[in-house]
This record gives sequence, structure tokens and C-alpha cells, in this order.
Amino acid sequence: MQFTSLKSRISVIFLSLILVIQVLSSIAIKLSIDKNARRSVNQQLEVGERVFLNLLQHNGDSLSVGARILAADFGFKAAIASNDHETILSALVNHQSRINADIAIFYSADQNSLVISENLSETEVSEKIAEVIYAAKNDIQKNNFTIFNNQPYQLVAVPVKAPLTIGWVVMGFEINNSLANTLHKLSNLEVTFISQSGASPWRSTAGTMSMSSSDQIVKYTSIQPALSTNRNLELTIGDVAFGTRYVTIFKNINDSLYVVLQRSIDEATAPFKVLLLNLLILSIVGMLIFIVSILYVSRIVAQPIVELADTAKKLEEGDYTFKVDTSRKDELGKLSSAFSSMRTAIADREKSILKLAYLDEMTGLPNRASFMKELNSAIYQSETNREPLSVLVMNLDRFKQINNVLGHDFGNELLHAVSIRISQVFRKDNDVVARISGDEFAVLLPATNADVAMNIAQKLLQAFEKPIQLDDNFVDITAGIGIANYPAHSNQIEQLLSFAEIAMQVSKAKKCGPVVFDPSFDAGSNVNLTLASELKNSIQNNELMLFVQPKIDLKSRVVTSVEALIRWKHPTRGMVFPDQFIPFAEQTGLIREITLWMIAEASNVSAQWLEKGISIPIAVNISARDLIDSDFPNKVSEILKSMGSNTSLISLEVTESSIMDDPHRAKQTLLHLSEMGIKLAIDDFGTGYSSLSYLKELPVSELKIDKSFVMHIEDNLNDRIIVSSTIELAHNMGLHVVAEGIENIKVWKFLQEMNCDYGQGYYMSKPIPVSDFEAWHQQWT
Amino acid sequence: MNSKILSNTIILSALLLVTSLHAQAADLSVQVLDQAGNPLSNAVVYLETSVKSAVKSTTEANVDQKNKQFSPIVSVVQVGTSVNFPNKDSVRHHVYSFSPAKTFELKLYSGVPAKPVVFDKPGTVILGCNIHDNMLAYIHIVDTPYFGKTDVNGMVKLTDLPTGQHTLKAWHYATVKENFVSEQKVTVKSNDTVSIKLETHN
Repeated sequence: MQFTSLKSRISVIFLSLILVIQVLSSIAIKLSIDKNARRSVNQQLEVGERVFLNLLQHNGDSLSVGARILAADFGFKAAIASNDHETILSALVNHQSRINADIAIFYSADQNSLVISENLSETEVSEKIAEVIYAAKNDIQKNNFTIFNNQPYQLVAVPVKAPLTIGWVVMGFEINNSLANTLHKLSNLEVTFISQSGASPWRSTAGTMSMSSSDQIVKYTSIQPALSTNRNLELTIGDVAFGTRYVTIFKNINDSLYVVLQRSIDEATAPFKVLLLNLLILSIVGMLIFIVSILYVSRIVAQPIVELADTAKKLEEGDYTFKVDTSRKDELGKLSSAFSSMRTAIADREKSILKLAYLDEMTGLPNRASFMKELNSAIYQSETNREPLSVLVMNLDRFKQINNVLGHDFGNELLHAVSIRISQVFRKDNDVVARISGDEFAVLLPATNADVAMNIAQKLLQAFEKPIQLDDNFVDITAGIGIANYPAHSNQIEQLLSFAEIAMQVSKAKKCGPVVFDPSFDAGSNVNLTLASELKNSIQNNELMLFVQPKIDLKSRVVTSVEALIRWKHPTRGMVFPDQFIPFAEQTGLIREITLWMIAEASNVSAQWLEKGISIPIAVNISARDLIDSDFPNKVSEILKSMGSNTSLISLEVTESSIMDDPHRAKQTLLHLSEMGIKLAIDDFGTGYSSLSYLKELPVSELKIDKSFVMHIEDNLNDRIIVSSTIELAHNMGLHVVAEGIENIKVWKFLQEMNCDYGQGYYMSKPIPVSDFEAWHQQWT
Repeated sequence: MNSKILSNTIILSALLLVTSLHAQAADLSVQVLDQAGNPLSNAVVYLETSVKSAVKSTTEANVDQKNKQFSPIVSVVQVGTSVNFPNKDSVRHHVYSFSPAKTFELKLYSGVPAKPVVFDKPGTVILGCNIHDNMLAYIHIVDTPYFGKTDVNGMVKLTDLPTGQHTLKAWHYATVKENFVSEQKVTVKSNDTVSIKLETHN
């Protein structure tokens, strides 16, 4: 058995102990009772023997008195002298009846006279009476016994003196049931007289036992080789054990007479058994009392421990409001006090930890963790109240550049000012404003649907129309705001926030003010996480593929180069486009491996093409992460070396914004690459905030105008002006210009007019697998 | 049995009668000893002659009761002697005998009973008192005038005996064989001394 609780263990141990003690003491008492009962039986038997002998003595005395009276009677003597048998007989009968004797005999050897009161054989009597008288002559006091006709008698012989002995008067009692009963009454013992006369077998002559019991005693007696007398033994008669004592009444050559005294041991133990029963009841009552008290005691001991355990559980759950009972003065009381002070200490510490954990120190606003917590409980609240909830995420535009240009301290001050301004918009107690990352703020709007949230977001943007003044600087703040709504978009806090962030990205990208999340923004967002983890294995599994999109000389229609683009042939999802996994790759740093893979793959393709006589350079995109890796140029160099590729056939494209993350290091890296003879191009030009003057310092030879400017060039004058002037400026700086996103011949023509050097776009070709390139190329030329 | 002895005595007496004609008086000293050789007192010794003597030694005798005892304990008398039982105690006595030689009883009396008891047969009479079980006395009745009782030295002297061969008898109440009378032939000449041994209880 397993006892999980202290209480039951204490109880069981002590109960077992007391049970063992009780059982042992019961056994001991039982043994002692048996022993005592037997001793008591033995004592009773010994006493019984003495009582019996005393009874015989008493009977002998009666007989003696009666016989003496008769022997002294002068008339009797006269009758003897005259040998008057009839008179003698009548005198005998008379005196016999006086003392209730069973037999009276007169015997005279001299006169050869024998007178018997009872009807017995004279021959038998005369034989045995002589012995009796002989014994009496020697000791007059002694009890005499004999058996006449199988009936034992106690006899007393008294001489008749006139004045010398002229004969003997013998008087006797039968040893019969009456004697047995008397003895039984006196001693409470069972009495059985057994005798053996001559060669005849043992027989029971009288007794208090039943016939069958006496028969068993006789049977037992007759199989004994020698009877042990004056010693107690145990005899089982029927089913009853008897303490048994044989007492010799008389024994001579011919006859033996014994009394068997017996006492039932069961009867003797009966009063003890009552005692034992009482003791048992007492034990049981004692046990019950003990059980109750041990339960009580174990409760006293265990209960506070259980309470403390509950207390500890509460501590675990973070509930510090409970009271610990410290009133006890014992060890448990000390433990309780220790618990109590521990609780206070933990509560204080947790409070300060919480403060640190949930507070953004810079702005004094709740941090991301705190916001998530609030969001969690707000959703719970909304669930209960069946009302919507909105999350608003705001990300400042250009904060990195501000930070870079004006310094971190300034950036921090700006963030603080922004936080104040945001907070001014939200006054409601329930609205929670938090700074969830560097330049990103989130607002929790309970009981607010998407439309209301939209209005609030507009108001928030309006609040930033007025520039923020820090010292002497005025900073214009613009921001993207995304809104996600519970339960319309999600009921998961993480997802809700991430949807709001996605909406915010859209807002930033479109620069169109606050955006409410729409599922179309994030077709793959649910799967992104899994993709991110699967992406790690995609390189080893050869799941990545290289696609190419040709770059055409707009004047000569000659394919001057191809841009390598990555595709992920996912084993279950099919083709996955880069915008679904490249952001994660950038976040996790995996992008560096992908870039290297791309370079290697591009070199490989280039080598294959060379063998086929195709000598078209391949441009590979590199990320901001690559730019800040000072070792990156060496890695590229190693790959190219191992592939035996010519650096002139591999060029690299870098986005304007990735350079701006860390312009200094980007410049170093680009210089290094350029020194290696690799051509460099600026990708997505126009989306970043770089100035041409800065670009001028970079060793780039080509500028790619982002397709967002090119696509609407036919209808949008502004775009046309931007593109046109960018081309002009670039040419002035000695750079070639590539226009992306050419979708029709009209755009081509426009660009041709603007002296744009090269073009890329669906009009010529969408990105195609490397294997398809040759076919396209032949068809194009 | 007694009658047998008696007839023998008669025969013996007849034989002795022949020699008694020349008889002259003589004494005979007799010492009675027990089996250990110790002198036996209160032994009755008597000489039976073949010829019945007409001589009467005594005709009366007394057995007193004094201090609840008979006195003397042993008496020897000739057949036909009257014996008186004077009571010298203040208490009364009831003297009796169931002996075949003489059965009698003197019911409770004090002083001297009116009539003496005549013992007319030889033998032993055992006297008892019905009131006092301890009182015991013997009277040995002999059919001869020559008898005596030993003193503390076991000695008795029979006097004036006719000389010649006679039968010397001796009796003691404590003989092992109850009521035993020893007999022996003696020739009475002059002042002889004879020793008799009797086996007695201690």
C-alpha cells in the first residue's frame, strides 16, 4: 500500500502499532488465562482431594462414634456373651439406622460368630472382615475400605470389650452416588469412583458424571499401565478437557478403589472468558478512542501542512492576497511565519520584476509583453461581452534614417515625444497604448469596431500633422497604421497583432493612410511560420530553383543580361514566391545562405551557358544582411573561384533601402566587391531615401528604377518626370539605367525616348526557369 | 477344652494318688520368668495332685475397687471360694463378668455387696466394670489347695505339699497365647526350686 498523505501514514503506523500491541497482549492474556485456569483447576483438584479425605475422615468419625456406642452397650455385650444372634442383629440394625450407616457387622473370631445387617455372602464378608479387623487392631483410627459384592464401603471396626475384646463391631458407609454428590457440592468437582476387584475389570461404581463419561474414564484407566495418583493430568472426555486427579482410596492385593476428581477446564476458564471479552470490548473502545485521537493528532500535524501546501499552490498561481495563519507557536507556526514572509518578499520582488517586464523604460509606456497581456484579457472581456475589439499598430516612417542621421539620443527623445503625442489622442482608461518595438506603437481599442478604429487612426495621423519640435529641430512624422479587428480577423492575440502589423506594412507601402487588415494581404501568413522552418532545409533538399528574367537593351533589343530570381519548389505547396519567404529569411539571417546559394547557382548556370556559347551575365540580388557582413566579398570570391567562373559574368544588385540600413558598412562592402571586378547595380531605385549625391560615392555602374514609377509612365506625368530626370541624372553620373516593370510596347517606347538604356518586364518576359531560357532567347532574336 | 483338661487332670490325679500314701509335707519354690528371662509377677502357679485333697485353703477372698481400679488385679482362689467385691471408692461400680467360668454382674453399688460371688468352676474370670471401661481384673479359679501368685521377683512358694510327682501349672493374663496354662510334671521332694517360662506380651 502507498500512503500519499502524511496523515494517513501517521495514522496507519500508530494504528498498526496499537493493533500489534493489542494482539500481543491479547495472546499473552489468553495464554496467561489458560495457564491460570489450569493452575486454578489443579488447585481445585488438590483442594478437592483434601476435602474428599476430610469427608472420609468425617464419615469415619461418624462410623466410629456409632460403632463405639454399640460396642459399649452392656446389653449388646450380654447378647454376645450369650451368643444370641438375633439380638446381636437387631442391635446392629438399630445402631446402623441411628447413624444412617449402610452396613453393620459383628464378628468374633473366638466365638466364630459373624452377624451382618445386610444381605451379603458370609463367605465373602468373613474373608474380608478379618483384614479390616486386622488393620483396625493396628491403627484403630484408620479408615478402612473394602468391596463387598462389587460395592465399595468405608468401614470402621471397633472392638467390643468385656473388658477384654470379645468381638468387633464394624460399621460402614457405601461409597456411592450420595457421597459423590456431597463431594461435588463441597468441591464443585466431578467425582467418579472406580474400582477393580480381583481379576475383574475396572468399573465405575458411582459418580456425578454421565454413564458414557464414566465409561470413558474407566476405559482410560484400564489402558494405563500404572495409575499416577496425587498428580494432575488432563483428560478429554467427549469434547471437553478435564483437569483430572486420581486419588487412591485403598489398594491391596485384591482390590483397588480410586476416586477420580475432575474439573472442566472450559468451565474454569469461563469466567476468564468473560474477562477476556470485557477486555476485548475495552480494547476495541480503546482502539476507537485511539483512532479518533490519532486522526485528530495527525490532523493537527498534517492539516497545517496541507494548508501550507495550498498556500504554496496559491503562491505558484501568483495569488499573494491570502492570509497565512501564524498564530501557532510550534514548529508549524514557524514554518507558517516563514511562508508568510516569503509570500511578502516574493510579492514585492514580483511587483518590481513585473514593472521591469511590462514597462518600456524609454517612453514609460507598456511594452510588448504587457500589451499582449492586456490584449489577452481584453479579448477575454470582449468574448464575454460579445463586442468587437480593435488593435492598431503604428510604425514611424524613416525612423532608422532619423536615428542614423540625428543620433540615437535624438531618436530616443523623438520616440518619447511621439509616445506623448499618441497618448494625448487616447484618453479613455481602457485604451492601451504600448511601444511594441523600436519605432512601432500599438493601441488596444476595446469595444471598438473596425470603422470606429479607422476614424481613431485618422485622428491619430492628424495629431502628427504638426511637426514635433525637439530642441531646435522640427521633425515631420509620418507613419503607417494598420488595424486588425476581433473577432472579424482573428481571435488569437499573436495573430491579431501580426495582422495589424501586416496591415500597417500595407499602409506604409501604399502611403495611403490607415489600412484595415484584409485577408488578401496575407494569403500565406498562416503558413509563414511553417515555411520559415521548412526554408532551413530547402537548400539541402534542393528545393530552391533559379529563375531568370532577361534585361534587354532598349535600342538594340539585345539581351544584355539576366536577373536571377529565386523560386521555392515546395514539396507540398508547389511554387512559393519570394515575397512569401524572403522577409523571414531576412529576419532569421537565412538570407545569407540563400544569397550564397544563388551566387553559386548563377555561376553554375553561367558555366553551362558558356559551354553552349551563351555569354550573358547573370545578376544576383543581395540583401542588407550581406552588406553588413564584411566577410561577404571573400565568400563570393571563394564561390566564384571554386566554380571557375568569370567575375564579369556575375553581377550583384542591391536595393536602395538595404544600403541605407548601414550606409557606411554597405559602402565598404560594395567597394570591396567592386575591387574584385564585380559589377554592381542599385535596385528598386526611388523607394529609398538615398540621395543621388550619396550614390555617387558608391562604386555602382547601374541604376534600376523601381517598377512602381515605370508601370504608370503612360498616364502619370509625375512618374514620367521622375523617371526622365532620374535617367538624366544617372547618365550625368556615368551610370546605366534599367527600367523595371515594362508591360507593354508603349512603355518601352517612352523609355526609349527618355534614353533609358535597358528594360525588364513582362512585355519581354516574365521570370522563367533556366531551362526555358534558351528557347525564349532563340524566339526573341 | 476345659473339660478335656479336666479329664486329664483326673487321670493324672489317680496316678499321683498311689504315691501319696507315703507322702510327707514339702515346699516348692517356683520362679516364673518371661521369654527374656525377666521375672514375671502376678503369675498364678499351682500344683495339681493326683489325689484330691480335702484341704481347703481359704473359703473367702476380696477383690476391692479402689481409685477406680480393681485390687488385686490378679486373684487366685480354690473352687467354691466366695469372693467379695467391696467398693472403697465414693463412686459406684457395676462389676460384671461374661467369662464362662462364672458369669455374673453386681449392678451399681457402693460399699460391700450383700452377697459374695461363689466361684464354683475352675477357669479364668475376667472382671470388668460397666461404668469404668478401664477397670480390669482377673480371678483364676483352681481346683487345688496348692496355689500361689508370684511376687515382683517372679517368686512364689508353695508350702505343705505332698511329696511325690505332681503337675505344676502356671497362668498369666499376658501370655501371648490367650488363657494359656503351662503344665509340667514335678517331683516334690524337699524344698526344691522350679523355674517356669511363659511367653508374654510386653
